[in-house]
Amino acid sequence: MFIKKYLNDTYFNLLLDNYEIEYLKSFNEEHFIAVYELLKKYNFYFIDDIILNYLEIFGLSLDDIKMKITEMKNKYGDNFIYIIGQNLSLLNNYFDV
Amino acid sequence: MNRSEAEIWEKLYSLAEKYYNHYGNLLIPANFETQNGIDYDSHGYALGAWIKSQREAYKKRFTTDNKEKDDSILTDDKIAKLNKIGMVYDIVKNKWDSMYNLAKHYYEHYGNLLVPPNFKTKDGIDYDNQGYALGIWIKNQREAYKKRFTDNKEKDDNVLTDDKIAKLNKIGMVYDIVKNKWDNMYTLAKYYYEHYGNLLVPENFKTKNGIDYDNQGYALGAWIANQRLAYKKRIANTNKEKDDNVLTDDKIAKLNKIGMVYDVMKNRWNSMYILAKNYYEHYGNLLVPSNFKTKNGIDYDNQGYALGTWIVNQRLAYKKRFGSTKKIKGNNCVLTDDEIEKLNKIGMVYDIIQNQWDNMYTLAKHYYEHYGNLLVPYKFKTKNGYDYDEDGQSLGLWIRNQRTAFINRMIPKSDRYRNSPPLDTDKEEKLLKIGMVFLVSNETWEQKYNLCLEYYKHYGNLQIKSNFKTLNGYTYDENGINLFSWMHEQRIAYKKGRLNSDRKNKLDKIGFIYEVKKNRQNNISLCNNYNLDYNKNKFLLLMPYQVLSAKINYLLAFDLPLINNNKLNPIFNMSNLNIQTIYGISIEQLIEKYYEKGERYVY
Repeated sequence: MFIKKYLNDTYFNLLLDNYEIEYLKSFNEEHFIAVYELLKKYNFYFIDDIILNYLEIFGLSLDDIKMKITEMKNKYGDNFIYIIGQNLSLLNNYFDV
Repeated sequence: MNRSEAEIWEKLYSLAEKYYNHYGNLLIPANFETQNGIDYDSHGYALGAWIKSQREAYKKRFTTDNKEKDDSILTDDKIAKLNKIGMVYDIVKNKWDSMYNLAKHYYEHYGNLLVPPNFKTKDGIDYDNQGYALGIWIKNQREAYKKRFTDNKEKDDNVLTDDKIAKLNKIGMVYDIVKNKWDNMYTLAKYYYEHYGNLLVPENFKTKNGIDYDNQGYALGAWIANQRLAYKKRIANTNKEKDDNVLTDDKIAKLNKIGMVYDVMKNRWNSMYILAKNYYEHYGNLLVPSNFKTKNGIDYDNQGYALGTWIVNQRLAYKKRFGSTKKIKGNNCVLTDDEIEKLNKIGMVYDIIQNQWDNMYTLAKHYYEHYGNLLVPYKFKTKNGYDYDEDGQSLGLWIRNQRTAFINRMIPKSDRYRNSPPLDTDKEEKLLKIGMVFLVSNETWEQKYNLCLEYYKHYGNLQIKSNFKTLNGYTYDENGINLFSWMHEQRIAYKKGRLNSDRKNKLDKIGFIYEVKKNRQNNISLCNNYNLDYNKNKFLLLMPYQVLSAKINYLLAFDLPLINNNKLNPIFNMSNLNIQTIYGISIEQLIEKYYEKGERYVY
């Protein structure tokens, strides 16, 4: 499974335990990479945590994700990445999962 | 001549050779400078001056005795080389022949010797500001001709010899331009008529050959306008045949042969109709773009007649006629019965808006017949109704607009969307026949469900990829519905209790997975045991069970509160790196030390 490339062994095993396998197989690699790169571009340093807990985000359109990131930045300021890293549950306010 | 002078001579000779090969002569203007021998370049070599110096050297050689030692005299070898490239040593004597050659090229190219007075050229064909003043030379020949036959001046250098007159006659020389101007312009008009099939020459049209617009050419459009004025003067006052401005019977007869229109206003409608008819016969419709100009009714021509504007005016005239209760006969702004009949024969569309609706309806009908629904994606564009085409009509947008128009019919005018006119019942009926859904909510769910069902029937599962879009349920289509996203919406609806039993039953039948997280119930149980409010802190249900369990055990091991002042301990919501920074331990280490392996439940 391609997602393994983006996680260490522990996180990958947690992922397998956390999500239905059929659901994990439904992700398109190309789109997944596009979302991954987008998050990386915004300097999200906890993308592995997002994959583990908010995998559904990787099924959304890039435009939608960009829009939500902009909203978060507007709400929390330039330091929004760290603020979210401190409290990942803030992502629930922007992404329905 | 030393070596560097020899090199310079050879260099300039090579440039002269290139000039000759390009222009067919060595009539290099005295001020001509060039880098490549062809194009004028003020930073280049003074080739014109060099040619002149060769002529002077030649004269010195053959007029002065015993001057072979003179450095400036041309050697036999150099003379031979210059002769190969058409060198003219006596420019005065040979100028007439040189200019004649240019005139001959002009005649052979344009079919006449009507060289505009300001025309300059290097090759006799193309205008070149650095070239020889051929227009002036032609004018000078005419003056010389007049002098010859009015003044007994055969010995005068300016007078044309019989030989020169014979040569000029061969290339269509016109000596009396005033007397012959009419015939010359008539010739150009005839060429125009033979090419375009009419004599509707735009007023600003200039030409050298009667066909192509040429800013350096003769003002044919203005000449045609003058013929009309002359005709009107003639009709207004019959006793004016001696007037130069009045058309003679002979001239009128000639003009009539080439379709002359004397009364443009009166005949303009017919003239434009001819162009419109040509358009219809070529394109099969009369949907002329509003900015379309043409000379022949088929090809766009920026110098042509504004046919598009004329078509628009016919529609306005038609509306004026049928928009009022009184027939306004004789009013130029209203179409006559005869004109309407003529326009109808060539597919005139009077109501372009209604026509546009019908065209879009046809596309929508094709879509429905192809896909079995009218679930047109918002961004869908098409030319044939079912294939996506970036240059096509925005069918998706049009469908949305019909829904808006439908809703607008049911609500007060002040609340209407985007000032759209309400949909009339006739159009509503037509749309319903092709599966139109005006109120999308439930029907859209059904239609998307059906796409999922098609997928399930086709593949035997619902492993729909995250980027999968489709119009038929099982084939990828970039412009289709994203079923993965729709399934995600159903899961959210299910979790929030918004999925009704009917929809749930339908989803159950296709093996829909509502909860993609395997241990949600286990997390709920764990939270209940430790009084953690998962409704308020939804993240508690998102994280893996092992992580939740390990965090709880860690806090308990260090006697740290799970909840403090009604707030969940921050460790529960932190990212891995943040936990490491603050607590000095990673999630991997938490699991290794605080999640009991083999034990799934911690109480």
